[in-house]
Amino acid sequence: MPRTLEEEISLTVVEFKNGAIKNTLFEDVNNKIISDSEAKDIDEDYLQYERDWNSIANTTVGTEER
Amino acid sequence: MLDNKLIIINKNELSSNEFWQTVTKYSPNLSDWGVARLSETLDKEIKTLVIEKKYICKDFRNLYSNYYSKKFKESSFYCDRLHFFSCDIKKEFELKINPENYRNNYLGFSVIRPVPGRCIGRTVIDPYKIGKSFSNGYYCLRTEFRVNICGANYLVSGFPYASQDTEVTVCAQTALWGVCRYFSERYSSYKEIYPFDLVLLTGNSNGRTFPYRGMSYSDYSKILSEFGVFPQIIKFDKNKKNIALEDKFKDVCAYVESGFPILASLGGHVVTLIGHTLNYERKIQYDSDGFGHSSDLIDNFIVIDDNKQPYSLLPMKKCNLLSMKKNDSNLFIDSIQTAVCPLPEKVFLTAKKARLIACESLLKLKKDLTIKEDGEKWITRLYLTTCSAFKTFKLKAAVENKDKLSYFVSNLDLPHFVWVMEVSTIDNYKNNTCVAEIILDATSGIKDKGQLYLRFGKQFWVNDIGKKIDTAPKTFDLFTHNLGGP
Repeated sequence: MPRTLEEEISLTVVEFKNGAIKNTLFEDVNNKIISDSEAKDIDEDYLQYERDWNSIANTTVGTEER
Repeated sequence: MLDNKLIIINKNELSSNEFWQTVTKYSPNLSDWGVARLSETLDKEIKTLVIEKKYICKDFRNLYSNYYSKKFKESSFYCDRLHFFSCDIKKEFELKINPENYRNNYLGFSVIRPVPGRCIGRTVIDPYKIGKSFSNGYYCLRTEFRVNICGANYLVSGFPYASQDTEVTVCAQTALWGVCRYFSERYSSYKEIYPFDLVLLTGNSNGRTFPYRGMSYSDYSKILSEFGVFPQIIKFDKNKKNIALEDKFKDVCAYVESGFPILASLGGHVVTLIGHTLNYERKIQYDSDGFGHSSDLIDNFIVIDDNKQPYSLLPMKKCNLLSMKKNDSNLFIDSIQTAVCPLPEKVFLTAKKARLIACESLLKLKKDLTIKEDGEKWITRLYLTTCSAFKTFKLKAAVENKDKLSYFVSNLDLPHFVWVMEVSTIDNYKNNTCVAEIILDATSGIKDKGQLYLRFGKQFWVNDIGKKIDTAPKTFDLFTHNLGGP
């Protein structure tokens, strides 16, 4: 008897959880990202963005090509 | 009021010159510049052109009321609207009474304004119908515009284009108008904005705002934020040697892949990036971990440049900015100095940080699994999409490919916007498939656990558990919905 489409593709949360293995992949990565960013300067990205912005905020664009 | 409203011109055996001369005879405001742009765009496909006389264009009427009406020199407030068809139409009656016979051949329209030179007003042409479609390697943004020709309804999908009128609007306003009109036509939550609204919204701390005034990035930021999209500004180093090697370029490519029109400043000129073409022969710069980025395969951005025809190409050609002449019209991707990326309000996680989280996660996975297959060289592609578009795609893929994991994704709780990084080998990528994907919460901060799930072939990690589904396929489809894919 051929399987129905539902039988072929359906995967419930209960079925997925059954036999799933616990792991810390995301947690490990997150801890590394946080410790890396704290080791650098946590505000550096924001400060760089601010420096870039201040250097162009009042620059006029869109006047040369007519 | 009693003149003929529609004039039909068939191309038949006419040469391009003869055809456009006939058009200008009936639409005298169509300048040589306008003819050049339209013929470059349409000559291969057009068979019939229909002129709709005395058309009231809401965008030009807005400029007329606020500027041209105040001039001593008399001018008309009426425009002509040109409609383009890729089939022969003999009778006006047929066009109006049986539009269903002609809808597939409708290429789009162009408003011709009564201004000297740069006469092309609001224009929407379907790139798919002029040889620039997904199947031809053009990945670009389109949205649907409704068109009414004397009572007959037509539709055209494209990106709005207009030339600058050089008096009130220059390229800064014209590009911004195109971006805002794309959003307002595509999403009902955005209000329609007219050209002079942009002039009024320009700050006057640097003197008068018209005629002939560009905009500053402060103006851009203020106007886009008031409109309802929140720009991230990416500034490139003026002395950069090769833009493709910069992480900021990858960010811009991620936003283009996400389906956002990007305002790119090339020195004094502004164009809108609306898509790209790919060249699989380009060299991919893999890092020491074996990750390359899909931006390496981009050889042109598809742009709306008001100096050129719609959907022109901005090529990836290395050039020395210092050697460029002031009036050199040949611009390249390397010429981009600043990119203004209009983002939805709830996208808190930037492309840069999303790439960092995704790459770190994939690297950890690669080490944990000691993955050695496919030469350990992977191409990553990062983009943002809505949860609904992503789930629709996954559900379709689940049915077509009998994929339990795609079906499982369609049932997950996801935020409104998600960042997606897909991972492919070059062969997978050419076939629009991938071997892995990681999904991130676009509302997350850098200290939140932003990963929603990660899939590598048959294996799936979500929250703090993982499982292998033996019946799931090892490779699965790339998401192509953002830039016009099926």
